[in-house]
Amino acid sequence: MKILDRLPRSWNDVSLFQFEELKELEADSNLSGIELFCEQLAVLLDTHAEADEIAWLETEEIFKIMSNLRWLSQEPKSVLTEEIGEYRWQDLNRLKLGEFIDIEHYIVEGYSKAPIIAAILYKQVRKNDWGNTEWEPYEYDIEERSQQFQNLSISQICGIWETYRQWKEDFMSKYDVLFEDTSEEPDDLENEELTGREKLDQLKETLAANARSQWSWENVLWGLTNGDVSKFDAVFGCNVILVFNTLSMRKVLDI
Amino acid sequence: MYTIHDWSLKTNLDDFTVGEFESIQKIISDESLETIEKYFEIFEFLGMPSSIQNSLTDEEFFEIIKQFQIENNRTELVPSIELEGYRYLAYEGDRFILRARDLGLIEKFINKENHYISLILAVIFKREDLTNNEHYAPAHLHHKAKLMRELSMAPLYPYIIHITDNLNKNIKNHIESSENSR
Repeated sequence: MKILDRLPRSWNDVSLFQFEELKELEADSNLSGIELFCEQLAVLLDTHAEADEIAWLETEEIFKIMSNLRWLSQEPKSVLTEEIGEYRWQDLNRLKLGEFIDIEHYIVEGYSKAPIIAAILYKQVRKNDWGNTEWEPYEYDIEERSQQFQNLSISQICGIWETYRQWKEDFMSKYDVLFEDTSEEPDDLENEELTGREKLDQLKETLAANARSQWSWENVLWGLTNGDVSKFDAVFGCNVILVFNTLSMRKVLDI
Repeated sequence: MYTIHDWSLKTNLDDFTVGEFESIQKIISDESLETIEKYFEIFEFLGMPSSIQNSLTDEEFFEIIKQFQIENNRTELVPSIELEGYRYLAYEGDRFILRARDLGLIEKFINKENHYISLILAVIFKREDLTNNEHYAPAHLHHKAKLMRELSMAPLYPYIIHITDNLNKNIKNHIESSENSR
């Protein structure tokens, strides 16, 4: 079968694994344009870029395939699907602290974690006795739930990513005060005007600040619960906006 | 050859090695140099004594520039070359084919290497007794490019023109088909 006949015709035919691989390739600045394209072809054909059928393509064939894969050089459409099966997209302003922390943990691992992120953000809903919409509590196994979201299209994944990214950017900008970088590099200790003792004290303070930064979420929870570990779950269930408002207030008032 | 003050300027591609041609191309594409500076650099590279450089009149200098048109009448691709007792083939069967792997390397060399002309030639001429893996090994390509720099540019120049034309044509077609599909 010819190469062109075996290639996807649009982003809709690209799997999540392939999408992730393609994104990694784009970040590889060592590849020339043609090398990048051959590697992209290899991902889409599930073979190796140095395989005969790719490496030995003639110039005209390469450019013909390139013309047919124009969609590859464009970002996939970003489509936020409101309902997937029995699950509904929740308003991000309703996010709970626990959900927010979990999303932040998984999102740095890239698109391969999209089913888990979707499992956190899409919930079941029902009408309660009062006729109001009630959202499923965040008490389910997200790994297990993620199985329901294994077949997300690339457009749906981009929709989730882009919507969350925009919301987070807007959200975080309101809480700049919480994220001022107070960590210092030990190089700052080269100040020759300080005595040996002062340098030692400064080093201790820097190391302590860096340690607090390393344990930031745990540190936040510790502060909000006054060190009562039994209250951690209650804080996880609080709305993330409420938590950040509280943290901002404490920071501004220094309490 | 153009002669001035008993010094001869090469003006025919047959008189240039690949290495010399490459060095001249490097000077021409050096964006830090003004046009006149580029010519002085080239003439100095080609051995013009400083005594002549310092004594040239305006008219003489512009006459040298006018004469410095590297002539080449060859257009035919040579199917193979001999180098240190080995035969290197550019042809596959009865024609020259530029393949994806070659194209990727050529693009990289043009963008990243000073000696890209000799490296392009090293990519397209394959020693007939070597495997593909051996041919594309970076150390082998760079060694071969070094040997290529000693060869005459004239018989190999048509390949540079052929590759440039071929790429230009394909890129133009690709852009046109992209625009038509919008």
